[in-house]
Amino acid sequence: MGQMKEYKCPNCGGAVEFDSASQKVKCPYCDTEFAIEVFNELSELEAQSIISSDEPVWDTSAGTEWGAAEEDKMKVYSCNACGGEIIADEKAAALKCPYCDNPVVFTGKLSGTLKPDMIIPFKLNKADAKKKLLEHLKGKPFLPPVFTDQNHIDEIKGVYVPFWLFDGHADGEVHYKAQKTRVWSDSKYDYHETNFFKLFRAGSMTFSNIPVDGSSTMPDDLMESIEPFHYKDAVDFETAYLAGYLADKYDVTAEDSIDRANHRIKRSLEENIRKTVTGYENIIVEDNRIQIQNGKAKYALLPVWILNTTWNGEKYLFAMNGQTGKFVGNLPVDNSLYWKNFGKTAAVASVALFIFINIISRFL
Amino acid sequence: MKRLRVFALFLMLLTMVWALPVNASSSASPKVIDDAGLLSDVELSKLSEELESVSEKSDLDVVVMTVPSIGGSNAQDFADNAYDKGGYSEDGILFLISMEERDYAFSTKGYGMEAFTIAGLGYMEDQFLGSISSGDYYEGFSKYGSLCEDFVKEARKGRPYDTGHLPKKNRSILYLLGSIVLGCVSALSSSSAKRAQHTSVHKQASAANYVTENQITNSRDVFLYRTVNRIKKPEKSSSSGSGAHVSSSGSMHGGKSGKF
Repeated sequence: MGQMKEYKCPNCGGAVEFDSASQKVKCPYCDTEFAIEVFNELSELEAQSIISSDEPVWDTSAGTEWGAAEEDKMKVYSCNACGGEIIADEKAAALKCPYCDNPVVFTGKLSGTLKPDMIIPFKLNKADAKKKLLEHLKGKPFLPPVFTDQNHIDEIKGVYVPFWLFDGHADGEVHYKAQKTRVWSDSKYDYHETNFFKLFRAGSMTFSNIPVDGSSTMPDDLMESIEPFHYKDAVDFETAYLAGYLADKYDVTAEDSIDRANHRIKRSLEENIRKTVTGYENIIVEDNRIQIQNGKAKYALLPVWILNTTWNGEKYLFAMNGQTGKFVGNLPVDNSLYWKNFGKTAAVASVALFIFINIISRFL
Repeated sequence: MKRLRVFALFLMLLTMVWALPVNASSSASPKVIDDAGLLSDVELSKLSEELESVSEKSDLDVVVMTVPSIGGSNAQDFADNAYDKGGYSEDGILFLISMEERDYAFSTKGYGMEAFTIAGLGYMEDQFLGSISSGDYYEGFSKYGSLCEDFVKEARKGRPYDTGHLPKKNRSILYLLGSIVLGCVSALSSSSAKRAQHTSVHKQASAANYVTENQITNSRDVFLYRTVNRIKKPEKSSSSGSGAHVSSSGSMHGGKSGKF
């Protein structure tokens, strides 16, 4: 006795029946007819699936303990205004918070925190950073003048920002519904043919060192905007690299950061698999299984130049990748400058258009 | 000496011939036939005067005819016959309206067929048929007369009004408003583009910068079923040329007809 198996309609999900008259499988709910082979193919695909769960699997044991000599050399300061905690060389004096420009106070030695596994030392100095900042501000006609003030630009600071680096391997299986249409005509009729398909794609991707900002004071989107960092320049951490710079202390754990890395992994794999679906229309994802395995997380300090500017009671933070020089930072729009510019452009464009239309209409 | 005199006489004759009026094409038949009685006496004589003058200037007959009914015949045929039997010249245009059927028709003949193309007549309809429909007959017919004058003048220049070459309305105000609107739109888009440059902070969507290995391990496309929809094509119609046809009296006419 063969085993009875219930087949579901690939179109609407209802239970289908074999129709002896047409020798086809018919869905009593949506009236669609299928060739029998369709079901053999679909169940074959189901059997090939390797993904059992979409819970990520990983192991974290980032960072190491500080040595006693290292602890003596570093001091921890905290800012009473914004709560940012920074680490500086014992020789550093009269510090200001790089995030909000308020004075910071000495709060003690390094303890209870981890020593970074690696560091990418600054490749670009303060002069480079100032040059990039001026380039960033150029060609922005609605920028309030305070941003280009030279004294203010001198306040730009080099900060080592704590990052968690995650490795990951992702396997994904995606099912799509898709259509192909064909249109043709004879002397009396137009024909629209729609072919319905079920598509199956599987792929895998491996990632290494996806950075996630470990400081809650530093905005995450700002740090993602200056990516990528290149790890070929990364070296083992030595306290000597901090001389002359500030370092931020991580206050978001690796466990709390991994979701962000895995979210990006998932998107990458989805996009990559989606790219292989070509030549179809109305593509709809029907089922999407992605499983991620993370390896060991690493704790790294990455170099960032930052400048904080206050305008109209709002804080604007600029950041430059201290390795590649990529400069980002949202700039406010001075509305009076904006409308002045709009009015001028509109007037010039209207007059020019009116003259142009009148000339053209003469020739028509 | 004698030869010279003959030559001078010849020159005189020649100038006399040139000076003669060339309006042999415009006939003496009435230009307004108001059988339906739509016009007052004053309007009738004013309109007749206007159309006479247009006909003379244009060198072809410009006629208006109103009838209570065309009695079951085709409006185009009726207009063609009315023109042929009315004693008009070989070049002309007749506009007919029939009150009972609310039919109208243009019948053009000879040079009229060249000057008034189907597209040109379509344009004329748009200009004056509205007045006729709403009962302002004198106003509508008068507008028709001046349009005819315009059309013939343009045709004599060698370029009759037709598809792609229709009279231009005065669009200055439209152009000015359009320019201001477009100017504001373009200024807004350029200002917004500059404004958008102020934003450079975005979250990364993916982790594409950190990929070390990447492969597609399986790819299958399963055909499920197909549907076919059949839609009947719409019938085609054309609207260019002069609408040339032969009237029942055997002469060649052009024109256009419809309901008002």
